[in-house]
Amino acid sequence: MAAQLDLQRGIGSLLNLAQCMRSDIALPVGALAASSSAPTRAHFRAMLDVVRYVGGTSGRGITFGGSEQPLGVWCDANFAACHDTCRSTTGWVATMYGGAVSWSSKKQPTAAASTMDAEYQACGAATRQGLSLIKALGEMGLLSSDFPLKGPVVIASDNKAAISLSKDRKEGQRVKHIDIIHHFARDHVASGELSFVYCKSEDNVSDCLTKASAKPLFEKGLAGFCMCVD
Amino acid sequence: LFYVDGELVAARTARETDALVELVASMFAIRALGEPADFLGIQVNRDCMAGTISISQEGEAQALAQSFGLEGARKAVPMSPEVFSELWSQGKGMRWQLSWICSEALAVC
Repeated sequence: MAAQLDLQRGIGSLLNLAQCMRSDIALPVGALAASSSAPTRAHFRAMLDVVRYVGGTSGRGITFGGSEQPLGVWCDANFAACHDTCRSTTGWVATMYGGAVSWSSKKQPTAAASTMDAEYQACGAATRQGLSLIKALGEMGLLSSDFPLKGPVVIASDNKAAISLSKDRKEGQRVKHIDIIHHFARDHVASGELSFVYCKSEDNVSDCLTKASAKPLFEKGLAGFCMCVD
Repeated sequence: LFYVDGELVAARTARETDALVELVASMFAIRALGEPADFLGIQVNRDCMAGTISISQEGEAQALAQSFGLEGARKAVPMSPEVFSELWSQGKGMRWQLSWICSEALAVC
């Protein structure tokens, strides 16, 4: 019982860090939080490992100014990572001048039929975030002045099929089932507010929000949004 | 009646921030604390040479590690791919075990 309380306290503190500053632990903490009501010893061990990681890298945070890019959005998905529900995970991160301003790692609401389907759902989530960022920047009066954001917001994805589906209407057995809500991205691409570009999987900085990786790949992803690796 | 609050002022030039601080000072009794180093538990670091601003929750992260007696511990990644996969399949594993026990019980009957 005491161990369960300890686990919940640990997960609570980690969630706070993951939401405020540490996008690098959003995925593992999400995996822990999903089962905090019925934890096992494996969860407790995994939680302590995340605490060790966070304590050992306590200086890591968000650095702005490391990149010239005023606004960047990346999205990614894993395919059917949750063995219980066969649902995939959406991950996206938005950066301004290289520093992450918002991010998310979340299990998708419905099971995706293919990787393209999962990535397309992630594109939809990134679209919503991109639009809300434009709105927020507009409210702050940044878009009207000399803020160097010209043209549509560019969202990077590592799935060519999902990008092509966001550009034009396609019909066929593989996309027929995709729900209307996920075609949200396509409308906004058509209106010119957003555009999707392809980036290689290893260059996708939102990778750490959908996949647990070994050290080299993990740290490469962090450097992508200027989380300095000491 | 006293109202106390703290705020951050940011602008492109020091002249603009100074002007705002002066304006507020003409209306309220304030104390300008200069460049922020710690704000709401967030550590702020400015590197003028590199042209960057960094924020972190170093104190909070260390306090968390300490509360579990793990100060000074290190780990390169928060979760290995194997553990991540193991956590996601826990529920399924338990369900399999349960169905196995049920089938064994039926076989015994």
